[in-house]
Amino acid sequence: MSTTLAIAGIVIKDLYRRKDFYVLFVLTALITVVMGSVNLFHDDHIVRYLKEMCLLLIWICSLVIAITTTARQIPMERESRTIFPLLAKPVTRTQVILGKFLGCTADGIALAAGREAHASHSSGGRLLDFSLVLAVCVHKVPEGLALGALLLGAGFRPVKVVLRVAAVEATTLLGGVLGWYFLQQVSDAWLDAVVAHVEGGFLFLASHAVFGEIFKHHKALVLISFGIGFGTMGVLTLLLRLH
Amino acid sequence: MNADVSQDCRGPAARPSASAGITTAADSILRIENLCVDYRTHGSSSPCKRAVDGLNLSAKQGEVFGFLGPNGAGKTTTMNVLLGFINSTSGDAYLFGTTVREPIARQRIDYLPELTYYYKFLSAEELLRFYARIFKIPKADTDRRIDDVLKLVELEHARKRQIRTYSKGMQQRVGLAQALINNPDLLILDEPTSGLDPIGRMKVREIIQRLKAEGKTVFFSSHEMGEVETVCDRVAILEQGRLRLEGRVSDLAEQYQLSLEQLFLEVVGYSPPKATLS
Repeated sequence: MSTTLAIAGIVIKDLYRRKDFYVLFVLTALITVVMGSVNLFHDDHIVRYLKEMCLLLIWICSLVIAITTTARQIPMERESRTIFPLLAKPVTRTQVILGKFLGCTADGIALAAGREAHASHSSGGRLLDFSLVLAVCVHKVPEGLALGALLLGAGFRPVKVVLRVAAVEATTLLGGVLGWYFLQQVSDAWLDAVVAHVEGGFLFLASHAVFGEIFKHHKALVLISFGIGFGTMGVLTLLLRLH
Repeated sequence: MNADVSQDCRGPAARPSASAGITTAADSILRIENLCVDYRTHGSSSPCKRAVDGLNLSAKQGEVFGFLGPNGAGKTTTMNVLLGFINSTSGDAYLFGTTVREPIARQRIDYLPELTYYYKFLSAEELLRFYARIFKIPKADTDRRIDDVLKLVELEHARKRQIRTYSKGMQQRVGLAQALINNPDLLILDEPTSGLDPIGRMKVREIIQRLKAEGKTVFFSSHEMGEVETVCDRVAILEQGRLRLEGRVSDLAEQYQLSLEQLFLEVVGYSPPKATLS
């Protein structure tokens, strides 16, 4: 377990040492300010509309993140060849994969934040809750598929692949439980800040991933994936409205 | 003389019986037995490419073993098998008597890649701490080990700086430091002096010699024959995946009356171009 945690620690260090991370903070602050200023008018419709817009963006982002950022965690390690000195140590491939994807716990925290937001906001809360659940679930599917494909490509047996993907995805549940436990006791202001941070994070990563991947890889593939995600999100939003 | 060398060394397959200073299975730290590695080429109908063909090798404790061969000879593939990066097609390799397929076989070894592939957003100290955690070294020992290896590679002054700010020589030395953090009994070095300036090379060479004096086993590949001649006890020359020559450096020099570089060129069948520039 300590090996997995050590690898997860490196992933986190990589995140906060990037200059991009500070852009994320600025974006989060901006969204917090916008949402806060809207509340000044005490118009529930505007507040709800803006929240819907933000959640719409979360949906797009979650799909893009699933296909790009998550799936590229280990390929990036391989491209920069940092995987080799790491695998030369007494480390199993499972520990590397688990350590790398421990970040999925954040999804669970987002889920719990949505649930708590639902409990504290009388209007629009249900939509926020449902949207977050969907956003996380939707992006878990391609993430699992991407990871599964990667493991199959690496020569793992199908049974082992299923078990490992299940173990990785279970980290979301862990995050959910942690978030549920801790966020129950925080004030609305803190909860809003967490939600805004999650939104900002999704937004930033998605834009970063989309543009990054367009420049690095096949433009058509990225744009088609993006289009499919956007269309799916549109249909889901329509269905939500009908209900 | 040269023709004799060719005849002696270029057998159809690896011939450990023709080599000098062979170790037995019992005292060898590193042992490779009939190793074959095939690579699948593009397209299912194309035949596999055999990168390593029936390789037999062993290295014993306290030995500096030079693993030589031209580019594409199969050196890196063999190292990849030893490090567990790839599986062999047939045959096996053992470290301290344990098959390399088991991660525990790598508990007492460490590896320095040809180029520095480290997390450049970390400082040298953080990188070493990370690898120490992987080896489950107790915290008190970790601090001491970090101090020791940074002192050995002369990077104490830059221990808090991010690796991305290091020069190439410094990055190579931080690589050596990470390779020593667990005080390994066997070090596998893939062209450790590649791309370094003469001072950097000398420093790496000094470190290898110091390790040898401490009784460590060093298995390294290099294209620098002078360096190999200086630091190695034994060498093996590979060509097209096959072992062509193996023996003690001193014995080979005496037997063939050639420098290691001349011997290497003979073994790989290099003949200098006859045409000269007018």
